[in-house]
Amino acid sequence: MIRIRFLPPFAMLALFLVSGCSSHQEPAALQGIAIQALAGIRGQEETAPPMTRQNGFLAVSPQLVATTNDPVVGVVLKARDAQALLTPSGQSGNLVTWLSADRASFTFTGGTILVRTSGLGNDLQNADFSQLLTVMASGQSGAAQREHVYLTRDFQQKRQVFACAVTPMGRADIRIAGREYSTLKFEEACKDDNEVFTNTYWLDGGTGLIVQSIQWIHPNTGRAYFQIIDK
Amino acid sequence: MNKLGRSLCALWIAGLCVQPLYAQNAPLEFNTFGMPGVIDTPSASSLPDGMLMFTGFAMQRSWRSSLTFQALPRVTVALRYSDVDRLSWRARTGTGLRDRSFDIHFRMLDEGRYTPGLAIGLRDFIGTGAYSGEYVVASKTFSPQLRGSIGLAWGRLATQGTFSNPLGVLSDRFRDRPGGYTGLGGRIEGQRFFRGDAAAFASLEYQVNPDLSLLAEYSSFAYEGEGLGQRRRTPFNVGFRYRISEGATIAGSVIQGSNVALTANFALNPRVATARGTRVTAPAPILIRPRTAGQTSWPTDWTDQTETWETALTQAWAPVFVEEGMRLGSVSLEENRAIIRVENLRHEILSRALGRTARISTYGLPPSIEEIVVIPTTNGIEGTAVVINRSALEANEFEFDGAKRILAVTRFEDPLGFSGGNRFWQPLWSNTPAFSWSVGPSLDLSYFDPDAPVRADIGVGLGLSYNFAENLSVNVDATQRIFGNIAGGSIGPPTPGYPRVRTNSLLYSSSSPVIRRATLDYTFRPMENLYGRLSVGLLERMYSGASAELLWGPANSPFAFGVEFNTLQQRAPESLLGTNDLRINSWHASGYYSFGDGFNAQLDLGRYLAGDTGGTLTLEREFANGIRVGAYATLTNMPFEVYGEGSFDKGINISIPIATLLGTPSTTRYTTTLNSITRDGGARVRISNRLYPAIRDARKEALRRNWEAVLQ
Repeated sequence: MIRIRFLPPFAMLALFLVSGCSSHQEPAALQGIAIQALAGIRGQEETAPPMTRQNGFLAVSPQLVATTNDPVVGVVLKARDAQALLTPSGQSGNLVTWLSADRASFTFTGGTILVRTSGLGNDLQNADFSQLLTVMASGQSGAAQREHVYLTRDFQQKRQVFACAVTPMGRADIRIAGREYSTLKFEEACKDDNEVFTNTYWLDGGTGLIVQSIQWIHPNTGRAYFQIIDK
Repeated sequence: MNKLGRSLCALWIAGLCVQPLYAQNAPLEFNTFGMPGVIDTPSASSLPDGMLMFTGFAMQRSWRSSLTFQALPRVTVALRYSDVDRLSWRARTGTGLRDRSFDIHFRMLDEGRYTPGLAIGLRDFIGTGAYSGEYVVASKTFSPQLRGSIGLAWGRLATQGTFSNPLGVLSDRFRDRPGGYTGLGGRIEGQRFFRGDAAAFASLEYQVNPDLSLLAEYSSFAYEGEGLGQRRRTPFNVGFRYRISEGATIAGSVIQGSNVALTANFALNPRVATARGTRVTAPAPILIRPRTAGQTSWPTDWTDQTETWETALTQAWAPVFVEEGMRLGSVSLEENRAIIRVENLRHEILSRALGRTARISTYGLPPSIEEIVVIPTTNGIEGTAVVINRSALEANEFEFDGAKRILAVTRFEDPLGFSGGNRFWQPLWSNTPAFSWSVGPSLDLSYFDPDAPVRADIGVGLGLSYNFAENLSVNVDATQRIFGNIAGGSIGPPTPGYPRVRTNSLLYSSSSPVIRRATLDYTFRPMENLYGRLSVGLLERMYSGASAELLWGPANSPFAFGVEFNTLQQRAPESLLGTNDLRINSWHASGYYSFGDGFNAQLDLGRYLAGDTGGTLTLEREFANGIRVGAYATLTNMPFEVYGEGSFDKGINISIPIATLLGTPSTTRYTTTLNSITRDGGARVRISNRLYPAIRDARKEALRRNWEAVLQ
């Protein structure tokens, strides 16, 4: 499926100017500009086999999981109708960065609590949710401030502070890639002057990891559905 | 004052007790002149800082196209080309009066809780002045949706409902407005400003939603010359403005009860250039060296096998650099330092290319290497050596102000300090492709011809280059026109007493293949901070010869200084390689200065092509994403009367990295100069590989501004 965007004259001129080819200069990836494929996370063709979704999450089959020795994260960007399987690509302390086949990356801590995105456009550069972790550890409801830093299109940092209310939603038994998890579910309802969103986390009692989550990233990116399949 | 004017005044008073808050995501407020305003009248607002916008306005027998730039938060400027349908002109020439005009609008006072905002403006203040007029306007926001303005206008903006100039109380000379213009135009006509009869105007703007605004105004602008005089039914204009997408807005209006007018506006905010942001692929995470607590040094015994390391690194690395849009030039290793030369082929922001180089370096470099020296090259010229601290890189990738912390310990040095003598510094492996080529569309534009506002030649371009060494190359650039109408333009009159050095440029548009450039180019580094260039051959479409340049430019200084000498012969328009008899020696001394925050100045003093001597001052604003907007003026000893129309050369330079338009990384730029008319005075030879453009992006001042991209 393809979708053609409205191109203002400035962009059409730009398209004309980059429509050449050369031995040294890189052509702009034209298919990524005028026509946007819907499959991959970055708007490019997804190489993995197509997968269905369940409750918004990527339905990863146990058979697929059996083909790899690495842990994987399934991600769905609902507003973009995009999905991908991520594999770990690096670690810095307790932060783990996961990469998609078309080279978008997500950095998580504690399983799937999102710290950074790369390659999505309007990327989240950093997130501070230390108060969320404190409230979750207490098991009670509580207020928690959340801070996001975005890199703007003119390469400046833009900080956004959200006032959030964290609420434990009780026990929830979930199934990821055929495996049962007994989790505690939490909701984090956040708002600032412009945005209102709710993140949901499923905390696995066994490992203490957030094995499943729904998190808001940016107005243009929307919400992401994450599931971690640890080996 | 009429009825509406009175009710506006009443609203104003009522508005004093209302919170002044315009909606945050406010649509652009522009009028039919492409300036802050309502329909024809101005308002005391500004565009978002840095906004660049094109406005086309069409009405029966009249059109205007305006290029507008919010140069400073309070200062809006515009260059306009319009067809003013003066009946007398149409009778004589068959078209309306084609005229260029410059505007400046200055927002003096911000709106307060009780006080209105105040702005002053000069329309068409340079030259012949078909639209010459001035205004003072006050605007007040009554509610998030409703805003009103009232003001006073002079000159052509005061052509209906006029009264005797109130400034006449100050001095009698304000009562009359001198007509005409000085000499051959192109000069600021200050003696006219705010003189002659005045008139009042008022407007209301109602924002229905963030995309739609309804507009009504009582105008003091009568379209007297546009043949509307007879059919004018009312001084009121009504209309709407509708935003179609982030960068496109249309407006429609009924002018004076008798004419329908359409306005289309395309806006580009250099600070928010694409809808999605640049979607560059995710970088490799920085690989952290395993270390025991407190460990700061690593064994250096690997230096016994440097050759093995170099081979392994370069062979394993080179493909990774290609994947990241760079060409790995060479690698040199010392005990604690790696020197990596790269050419950036993809990233519109050099900071990102530096960051990705450093990230790749954390994979595979021996752990004892603490300093990663990245030397970016452009056309074989090494602009700077960026010395990045590996430990700082490891520690700060995920810190909130990580890029700033890395910058604090990064040094910018002369790359010359990293070549020569030392046995480690001789790269064992290098990767300079000998031959490269490019094929693509070619586009030439010629603006403001009396018969056609824009003329264009469209064709195919072929580029070939051969490198004998990193700093010695042959470069050929040829085009074949497919279609176009530049040759159909009219050639301006000659400049008395001076050779035709540019007025004959239309002759060089040809339907046969054309060699634009065929040069042997050599760059060299005579000493620290000094760069040199020699070019011989067909330098540009109109001139062949030799060009020599020296540039002093320390990587961490905001200042640079250069000299250039050219000995030239004019090429024969009809022949592929031949020349005619015109021989020219030209030279220039140039100073470059970055004030910081993207404001740059350049002063060139010297001898121009026609043999006139003088100087060019260029002021430029550069945004962090690489968009540049500048204005220049050249004054030489060629008298204004001899120069011809416009009196002296002046114009606007615009350069836009296409990545900011498309959201896909690319180093390609679109660069154009809009000057009012091409004459022979103040003309310079066009050299494709001048030194300052090759090093400017690599200087500390430029890198500091978009340094956040180093971790992107």
